[in-house]
Amino acid sequence: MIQRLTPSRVIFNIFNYAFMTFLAASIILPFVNSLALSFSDNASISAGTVVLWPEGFNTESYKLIFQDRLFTVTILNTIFLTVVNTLLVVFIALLAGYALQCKEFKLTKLFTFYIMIPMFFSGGMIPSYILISSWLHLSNNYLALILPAVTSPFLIIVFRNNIANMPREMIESAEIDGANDMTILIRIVIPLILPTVIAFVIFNAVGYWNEWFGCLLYIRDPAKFTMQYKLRQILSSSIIDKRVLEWLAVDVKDMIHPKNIQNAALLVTIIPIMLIYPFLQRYFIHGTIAGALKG
Amino acid sequence: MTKTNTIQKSNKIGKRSGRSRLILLCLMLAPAVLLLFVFNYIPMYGIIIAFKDYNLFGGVFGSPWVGLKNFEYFFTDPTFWRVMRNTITINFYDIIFGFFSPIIFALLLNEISKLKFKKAIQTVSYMPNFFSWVVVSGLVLSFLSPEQNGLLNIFLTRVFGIEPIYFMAEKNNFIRVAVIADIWKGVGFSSILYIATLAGIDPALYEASAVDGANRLQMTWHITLPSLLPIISIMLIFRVANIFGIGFERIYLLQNNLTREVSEVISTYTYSMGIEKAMFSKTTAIGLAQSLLGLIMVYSSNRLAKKISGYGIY
Repeated sequence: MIQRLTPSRVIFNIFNYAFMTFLAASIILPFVNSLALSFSDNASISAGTVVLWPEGFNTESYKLIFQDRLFTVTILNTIFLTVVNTLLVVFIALLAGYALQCKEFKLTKLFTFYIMIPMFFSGGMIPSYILISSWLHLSNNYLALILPAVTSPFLIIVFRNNIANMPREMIESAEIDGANDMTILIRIVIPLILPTVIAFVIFNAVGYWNEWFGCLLYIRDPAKFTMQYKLRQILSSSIIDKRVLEWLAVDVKDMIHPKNIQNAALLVTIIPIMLIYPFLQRYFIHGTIAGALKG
Repeated sequence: MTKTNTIQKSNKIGKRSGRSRLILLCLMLAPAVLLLFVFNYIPMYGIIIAFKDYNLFGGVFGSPWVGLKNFEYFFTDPTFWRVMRNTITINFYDIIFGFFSPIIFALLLNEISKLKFKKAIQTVSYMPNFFSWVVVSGLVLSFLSPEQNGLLNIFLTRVFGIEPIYFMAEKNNFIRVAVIADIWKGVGFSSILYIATLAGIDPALYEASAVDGANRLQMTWHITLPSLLPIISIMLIFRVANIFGIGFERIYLLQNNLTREVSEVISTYTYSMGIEKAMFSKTTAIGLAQSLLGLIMVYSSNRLAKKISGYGIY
């Protein structure tokens, strides 16, 4: 496109670049501040001089939270839940999405309707809560965080549409070779829509990694908390005591500023996301568009 | 003999209409169908407790019917109307500012010609979407904190020399903070869809209009916006349809007792009345009313969008 640099265009450009820089700074600076606080010592934090650079540099807070069993166990819990839930939600949706797009399958319409209704109408928070806690007795059980969360009508429809838009010849030639539907799905369909599958693996993994509400509703046992739930506990307590972090309370409570621990814990929960982010960026644009336009 | 066998066999598979195939397809659907039945359809049936007086001994089936008493209860309860008003108010500002900001962001980003700068802005702005509300509310609350380390107060104190302000204690600030936090978290990521649509516009249209002497503003008005219109209207339908629902996590994690009067929305109210105070029947009635209003909103906003722009979701 040809750009003529009229005076109004120059003013617009200055404004535009400044605005974008401001926006980026508003996102980066809080994290830099958080990073600085997590590495600073008690005296500097109490004095309020830490802004964007650590003062009295030390890594005590990180050592402490990684030694604290009440915190480390939540990391393991969250990794477990993220892996199990992500694999299940994507696999269940691929199976259902494949079955729904088979034209020879007479019940397709009925089942599509059945799967789509929950997208528009739900029983709400309380009936689900009664079902899971009083009928199924799943309080304090990870099944309460897994079973209700692994069927995504939206994802099923996205996969159905993606598979239906694939070139038919590949599926047909596999059929002639005698492959059954399961083989076709795994050997042909999944490799062909792999970018979409990966995009949704990432989206869902991030979602489960950030799981907090389910834990609030169903989990009471501190050994089973998810990381976000633990983080909220740490962030919302002005004095970090024995109920929040075991180890800390016993030994070094007076030497560590709550802000120090809080920011270290916050960064620990987002570092894995930061690490996969560059990898993620390649796929999520693909995923958003696959979901929005075809779903 | 062998040959006929093979042909018969391949014919059978070729048509793929055997009973074993039907069983396999049903098995593939089974996990989704069963889980949806248990965790989505059974709770829909559980809605009947909205018309009952739920108690622990009677449960869903044994508790006595009370007709519309639960609905009467909350329709005459001033707290409920306040909660309803809060929900609609926050949603209203979310739509006015939160819905349109990704569109404006996409349009502004589209005007940036330095590709590296553009890429960097995209990378940074998409990021907060992947952090939980626990993390985002933590950052927001610490940014606004009146203690020694709140960035905003540090700035205000050092530059303007004013005393630290306790922003979150002031109830008028709650909606602003909630709306801005939502934009901060989501503006980049929500803009992906619009950026992708913008990238798909035929450059010939712009070239032709340039030949005709159109300026940038005219191009935006006559080419860019009309191309975005279908996707905007579809997204707006979904957004407006959700006007009675509000994400639980953002509000719950940002609110405190000082701002509860303006920050309590349907979902947080349902949580505190229903789960913390175990008023199951009354809150289920609220949930049902919310779901039904949501359905009406989806239907009517879809009709409206079709009438105005010719695009709808079904």
